[in-house]
Amino acid sequence: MIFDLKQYTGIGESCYVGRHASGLEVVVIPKNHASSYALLGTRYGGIDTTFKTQKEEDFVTVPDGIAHFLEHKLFENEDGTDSLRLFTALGARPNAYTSSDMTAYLFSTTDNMYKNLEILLKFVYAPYFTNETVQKEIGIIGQEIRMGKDNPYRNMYYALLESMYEKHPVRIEVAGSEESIARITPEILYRCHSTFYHPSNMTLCVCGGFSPEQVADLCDQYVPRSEKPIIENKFPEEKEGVVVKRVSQKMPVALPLFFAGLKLHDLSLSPMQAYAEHEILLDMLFGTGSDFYGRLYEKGLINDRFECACNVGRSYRYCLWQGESRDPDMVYEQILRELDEVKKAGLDRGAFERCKKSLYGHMVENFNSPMGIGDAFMDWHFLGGSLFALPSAIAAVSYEDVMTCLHRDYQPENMCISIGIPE
Amino acid sequence: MSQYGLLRREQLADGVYLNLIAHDKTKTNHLSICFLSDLCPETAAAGSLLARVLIRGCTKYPTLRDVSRQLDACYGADLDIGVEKYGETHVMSFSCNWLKDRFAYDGMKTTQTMLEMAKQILFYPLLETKQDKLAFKEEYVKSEKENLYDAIAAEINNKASYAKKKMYEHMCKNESFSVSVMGEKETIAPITPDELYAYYVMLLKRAPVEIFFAGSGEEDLAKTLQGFFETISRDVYTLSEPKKDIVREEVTAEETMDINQAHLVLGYRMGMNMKDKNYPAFMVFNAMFGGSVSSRLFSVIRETMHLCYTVNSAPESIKGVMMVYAGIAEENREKAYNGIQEQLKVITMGEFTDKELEDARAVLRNQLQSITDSPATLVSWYLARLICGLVDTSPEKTIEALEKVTREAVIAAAAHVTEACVYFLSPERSPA
Repeated sequence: MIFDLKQYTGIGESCYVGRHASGLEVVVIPKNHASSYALLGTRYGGIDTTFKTQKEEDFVTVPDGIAHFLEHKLFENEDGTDSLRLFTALGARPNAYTSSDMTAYLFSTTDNMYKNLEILLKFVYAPYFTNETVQKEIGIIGQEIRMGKDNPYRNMYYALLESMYEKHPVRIEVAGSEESIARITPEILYRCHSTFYHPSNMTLCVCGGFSPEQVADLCDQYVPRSEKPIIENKFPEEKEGVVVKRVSQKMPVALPLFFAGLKLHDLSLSPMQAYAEHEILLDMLFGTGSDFYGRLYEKGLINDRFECACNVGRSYRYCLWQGESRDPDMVYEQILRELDEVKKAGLDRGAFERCKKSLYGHMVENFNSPMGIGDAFMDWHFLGGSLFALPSAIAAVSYEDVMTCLHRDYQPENMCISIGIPE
Repeated sequence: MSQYGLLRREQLADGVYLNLIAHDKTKTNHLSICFLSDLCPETAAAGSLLARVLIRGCTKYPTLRDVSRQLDACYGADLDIGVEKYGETHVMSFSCNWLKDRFAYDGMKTTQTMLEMAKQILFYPLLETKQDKLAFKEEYVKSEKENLYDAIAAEINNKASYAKKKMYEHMCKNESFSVSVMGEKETIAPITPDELYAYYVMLLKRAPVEIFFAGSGEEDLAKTLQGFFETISRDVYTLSEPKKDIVREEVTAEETMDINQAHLVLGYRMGMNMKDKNYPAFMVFNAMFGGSVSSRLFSVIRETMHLCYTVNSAPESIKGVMMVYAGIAEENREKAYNGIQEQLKVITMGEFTDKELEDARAVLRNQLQSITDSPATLVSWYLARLICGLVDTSPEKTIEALEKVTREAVIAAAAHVTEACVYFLSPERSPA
């Protein structure tokens, strides 16, 4: 296997990138920390509900929550062992997560790096599902779903997504529902695994004391080779505008909560460019250094739990404002007014330079630890970007870029709000 | 032995210590300045309010906007003043992280900028004179009281944290440990701006101060920090010795709320704290019992009995108490409770394998070695030990002690653990 060495002198980082004969992308990031970190990720998450490969005539739609269910089940091996215990016996800390866009299996360790990597490569490519094991997991995930339902922020977040998106599967809860997971069978799990867990759809990222040659050697031994599935995802046509402008629900919270969103239809900008422009713009207009924040904070309309961000995903993007307020409708009105006024008055260049530096600093901070690098790398990688190139992409954003972004994307007809009211 | 993570301690003034942590693995520098007091309702109220008022503004940066803009301009540096409890010691920490000088693309001297900012925020607050008394700005005190009441009320939004907090309130009633570190509205409300200022002056003059710096570019740091305290005539008080546990009958408490999932929280007395020579044996016991994904609680209550997604045990080793938490369906309360008791009994009876013991040791070894990667984690780790009077220690020395822990010592540590409280938060029943 051949690795390219890429160096990023501005931030003092480097990485080796290569593609294994199986199709697996392999990234080795040298670091000198006590811990090393490894993730094996697949471009498969909560949004991948409708798909087909070259072997099937028609698209299939699977029950919600499969990607997350698979993540739980893969740890169980055919011989009855639990892969979690295999890692911990070697002193490693294993974990896994599923998002709308991807699933990752990972471990952090200060010792036995290659033995742990061997376990990772083996278990992810060795699916084993029976009716009995599937039923057992329904109980555990059922509790996870209930825990999620009691989280007011999570409820507000999904209520917002349902208000913004009529059909796009980003609106679906990643864990699914108790009803949808009850329909999962071993056959569906095997089908999803053989489609999305083919190495050509996956990336291994190791960060720490690993050597590229030894990593390549383990891939030769444990990553299976087979015919590559050509995966087609079917994402429904999502029309412009939002589904409903305002929704509210009662929940056991102390103060009203709000999640406001701006749906971004134009996906032509690269993910990194879009992220950089929107994050800088949001910080300028609504961040803690903005006039908006100062004004509303001093009036007691918002508190230090007010945040805004741009979320960039595979085939969807949106901006989000969230917080607590005695008068969420007033906060929303103020957000809309701020956008309207700044479009007329223009943006402050000093604020632009300041917020650009701030975002740059936050991105470089991702490189503080192997875990920080690995997680952020994997997120950007499956979006078609690179964490390593992100700081310089941010540094290259111009004032004109951000002005264009404001006028192009910030339209009130693409905005809506979800409110949670105390019972 | 790695030099990373080792502490070098020097005195800067009466009761003011600088702890330098050898660290060059991160892109950022870290500074924490911690003021220590005995935890009581009045300290909690004043500390909580003071922390918020201090970051609202200072003489040089009078508004929140000004403070934030300066931080943004310093490459998104973060700065916060928080309050925590370590056992029954109250800690108000000013902490900040900032990008090292060499990563600034415009050549800004970030370390110098942030040290200056620390000095301004902590030592040059925004004051006004009211009726001949120096006080914090009334407008800031008033609005931060309201924000604090909201933050206290918002604790209910995270059901698991709320349940854990309530358990300790019941278990440690009439002990300082049950005091909420955020304070209570009744104690916060009467504090006037000049009283708050008097509390601040007292802290600067009398509180023991532990300063931590992890990073690089710290030439002259000791001298700069010493300069912060130059004009303060220090008269430091001694923190109280840890109090003995109050022995009482086991407490059971229940609460209902409009929720889907129930929360079972059990409280225990450890029978020791981290100063005890047998503490390493307790660490191994806890890792085996519920402190990792290879623990008995995870393997049995979650994976075998399928009763929950989250289950773990967590000690508070300065006070010497421990909690077991499980998020469950309401109808499984008894099964979960019996299951947890059974796993504790298994360890007390010595019915665990050598492999379990070695797995627990391996997990702890890994955790301790990893601590050296994170400045913030190292600071908390060292601060906890300094508060307990453990000066000559390090993650490496702790690993050495863990290697010597025997099966018998783990059984003895488990035998010291006594159940003291059961708290259950469950869904409300709909009216029939």
